[in-house]
Amino acid sequence: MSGAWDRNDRDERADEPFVDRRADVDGDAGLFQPPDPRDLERDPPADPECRRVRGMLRDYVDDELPGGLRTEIEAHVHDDGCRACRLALGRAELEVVRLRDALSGANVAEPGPDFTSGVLARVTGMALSAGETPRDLTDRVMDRVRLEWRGGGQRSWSVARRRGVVAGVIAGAAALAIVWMSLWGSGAGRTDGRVRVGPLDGSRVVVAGRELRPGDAVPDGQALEVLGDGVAELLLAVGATNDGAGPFREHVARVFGSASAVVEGGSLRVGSGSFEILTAGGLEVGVSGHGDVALDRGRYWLDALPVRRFDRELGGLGEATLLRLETEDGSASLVAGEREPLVIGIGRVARFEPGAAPQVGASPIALLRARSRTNELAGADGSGQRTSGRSPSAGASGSFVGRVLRGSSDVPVVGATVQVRWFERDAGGVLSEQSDKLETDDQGRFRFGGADVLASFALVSVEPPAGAGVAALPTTPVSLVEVYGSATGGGLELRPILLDVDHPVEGVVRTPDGAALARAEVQALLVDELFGVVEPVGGTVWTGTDGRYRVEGLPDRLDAHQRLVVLAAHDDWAPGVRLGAIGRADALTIAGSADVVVRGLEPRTLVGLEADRTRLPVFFEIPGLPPSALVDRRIVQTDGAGRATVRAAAGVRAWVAEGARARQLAFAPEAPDGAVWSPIDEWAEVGRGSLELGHRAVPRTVRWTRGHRFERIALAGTGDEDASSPIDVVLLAGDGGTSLPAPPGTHLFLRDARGAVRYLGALDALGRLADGRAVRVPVGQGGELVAVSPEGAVGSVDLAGVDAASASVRVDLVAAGAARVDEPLYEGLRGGAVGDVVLEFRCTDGPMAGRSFWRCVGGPSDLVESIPAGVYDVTLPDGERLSVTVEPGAIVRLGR
Amino acid sequence: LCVLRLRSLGDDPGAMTTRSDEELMELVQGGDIAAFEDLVDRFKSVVYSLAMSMLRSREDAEEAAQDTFVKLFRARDQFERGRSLEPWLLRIAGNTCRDALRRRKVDRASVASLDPENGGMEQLVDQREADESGKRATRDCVRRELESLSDSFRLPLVLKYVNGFTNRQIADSLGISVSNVKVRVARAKDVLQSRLERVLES
Repeated sequence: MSGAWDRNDRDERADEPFVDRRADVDGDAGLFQPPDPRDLERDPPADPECRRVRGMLRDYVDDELPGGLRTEIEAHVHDDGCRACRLALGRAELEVVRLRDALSGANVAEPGPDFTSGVLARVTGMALSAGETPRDLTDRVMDRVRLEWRGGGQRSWSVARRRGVVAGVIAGAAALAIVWMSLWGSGAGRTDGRVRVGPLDGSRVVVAGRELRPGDAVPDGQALEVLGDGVAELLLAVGATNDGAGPFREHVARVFGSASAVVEGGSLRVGSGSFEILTAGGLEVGVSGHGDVALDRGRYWLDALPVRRFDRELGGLGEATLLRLETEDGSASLVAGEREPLVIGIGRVARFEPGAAPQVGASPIALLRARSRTNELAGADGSGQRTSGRSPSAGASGSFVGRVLRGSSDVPVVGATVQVRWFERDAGGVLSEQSDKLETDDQGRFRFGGADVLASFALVSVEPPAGAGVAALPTTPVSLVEVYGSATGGGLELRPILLDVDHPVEGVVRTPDGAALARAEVQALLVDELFGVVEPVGGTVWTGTDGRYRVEGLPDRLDAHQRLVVLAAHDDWAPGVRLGAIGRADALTIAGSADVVVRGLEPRTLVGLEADRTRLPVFFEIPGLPPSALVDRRIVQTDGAGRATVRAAAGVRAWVAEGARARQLAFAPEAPDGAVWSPIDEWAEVGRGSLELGHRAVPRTVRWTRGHRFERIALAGTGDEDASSPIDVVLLAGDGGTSLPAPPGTHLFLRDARGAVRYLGALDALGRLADGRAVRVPVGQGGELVAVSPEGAVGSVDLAGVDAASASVRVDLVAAGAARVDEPLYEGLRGGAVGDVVLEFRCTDGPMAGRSFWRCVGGPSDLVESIPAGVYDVTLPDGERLSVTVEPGAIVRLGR
Repeated sequence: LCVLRLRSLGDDPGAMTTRSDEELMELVQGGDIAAFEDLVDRFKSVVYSLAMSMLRSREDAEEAAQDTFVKLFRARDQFERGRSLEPWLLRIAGNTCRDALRRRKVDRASVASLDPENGGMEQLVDQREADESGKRATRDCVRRELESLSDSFRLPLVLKYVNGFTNRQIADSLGISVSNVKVRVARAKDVLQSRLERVLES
């Protein structure tokens, strides 16, 4: 990729749908001929009725208008004898006629003559013949399933289990993973239904307040909750070929810990939780906020984690569901909306975050498994048979080995006691817990052999020998599911277990002038960048009179996507953060001192709060932490007029939660001279718009704006209604020249000559206010009308030339700058078509210099709009940076 | 339950054709397979044409259309009284076609070079003799340009002016809003116009 941008290339633009074609202002120009210049002289028509009719002509020609409106148009065009509109209607009709003519050869082929009989054959092939009950059908289908899976060609789950997997710790599942014996074929206690509850261990499955037992069917369309810290299994029977004749396939979803889901049409729609899914293929699982995940045959780990996090589009905190999908041997595709699927191949892990490019990497589980494959299966000669002895150290089939080291020096810990626990099933099928322990050798090594390849092991503790001077650390259980048998005795090698890595975090909390701060509260926080969540670790300590603190009990290791920070807070000071450093990949150390500087508080006034609420939870930013931390949450008391005085550090941002989302608040000092703060001047630099003004009544809703977020803080009138001229229909060209109705949701603002900003309302599909009200603007006094499209495109018109007698104004709309991204680039980046991709623009020269913002490229438009003129560094989803110059009125192309 | 009644010789086939879609669906829910057959006959053209527009392959379209009706049948108990059948059916059809596309992993390059035998855009070619070469050239040009549009714009236009779908039907099929359909159709027309002006000028 060269990174070159071909700016304002007319030849290129001519091929694109968004070139400036201002001549086609009414959207009724002929398809194959330019509008008659004589007609253009009358465009746009001065008469409001004509404008209204023109806006409906295309729908009229397409026969999409209700009878009443059709009659109105016909009356206007024919009875009233409006020649201009009659011409426009003629052009619109000609356009359609020519289009239909051009496509007249289109072969709208009928399905074949056997189509209906074919459908019926498939339907009746579903055993829906007279007298057959659903139970018969289900059982018959399931018999076929069992036959298919037990027979050749399809993998049996029991075989799959024997092939073995060493599963990593599934996110959020701290519980011991249990290997389930194949129970689903027993049929005992089963009822009809596509999804049934399988074995439960330490978990409960609840639907509509009713607890289900193993074998119970899960009702369709109802929310399902899995409660507890154990493992629950769900058995899904889904017709994979959609033809009813099979093969039906049954899939297994193991749920670790608590989770929520809905069963829909025999499959799952996941709300939250950690799932392991084993599928024979053809399974689609929905994930809240992410669309459908189509799973080919294989084993998958799917984590759906609802988090509060920074929402780029919102510019504040929002709720989102993060999706992590990992597969060792399958291929999954994720489809959201109309996007082309993003395919995750074998041995990959992907993280999906709404509004951001997916992150794909190698699957740790697959890597672990690949490593374990070096321990070859014992084969069919019997050497890999299940161990008869009860002690895993007594047999010779499966084995795993490890090493215990001092975390600080990598010196082997000799004589450390390693305890392991596993479950075994006796001849009667009863599970019993077993445990064993041994000591490390002079190299700090330990080996557990004779592992039952069908069992699941957990390394539950590692204790240093007494008097060795090595600190014991709580060990996160290491779950080993399905340990391989090994003829070579090599065994599965675990990561080193590190002891004595509890370097305490020590430091001093200071004020900006360097003074030590006593009685400050200090916490270590683990920031998980993969999921964007923050959790405290190591407890809370307080500084002494010398400002010193010491935090202990930190985790013995961090994953690559985790980092540690130290947070200091004090009632009289704003919280401060000290970033930690990870000294090595598998052990945690804090490099250098961990002094924390807190900042001073000052009275500040929040504005834009809801006037009808007196107490609101407000979240304050802690620099250095992601907003999702939500650590600094305070209840603020408002004055009943949408304002609240708080003590906050200078420059800190604040959010207020509103249901599932949050919006950023403004502080009063940012507002000029007590007026409502608005960055609308920035918008004026963004673009100029085309607005047509007509006639209607007066709105009284007043909102103030901040960025593209709209915050209602008060009702206020300007007192200028008597001198106002109403607005009728507003047309906004949203893409640089094509004539389109203003998209629904377009927001109108009015800035009067004094700089105050009023929010007029949002438009509906007909260009009126969404709630049916009409709007009115003061005239003869200057000011500006501003429209913001739902995508953030901005247009404005100066009202200085508008008076009450002639309230029709039209100016050209030319976006100040827009960037187009080539689809091939997208495809190269994402493996899919244009979709929801966020590009980061950092302005290096121009009015926005020094500022960064994001633009989302998605939907039917592949334009990145609303880019102020300037020079930008653009960061693509894959991290590559390009330099581009955006000029007013230009469309620049991001190309190779 | 799922006990279906096959049409007997004594049934009046004409009675079915006078029933509304929703009445037929209720009969299907009650086990009347003859009613289902009538529904298939009633909607097979619209479903097939939708599938053809999206998949552009006769075989795939027929399979998707069949899948659509089988899914409808299997989900018949989920149909609620008072709802309209057609939007639901079109949504199923649209989803089925998208699933098929997903599986097929169609990319635009391959679409552009579809084999006529497989029902590519060549199927839109009027086999009749064009009365004027100019008109024929224009048509070919339109079709070429239409084919080069992205599906987001091409599908609404084709469904509207080739298949005769209403905006509502297009919206149901594609899972988008009616206003979005209007916008896409309008933009597609604009794009075609722009490109054709250029071509015709040359």
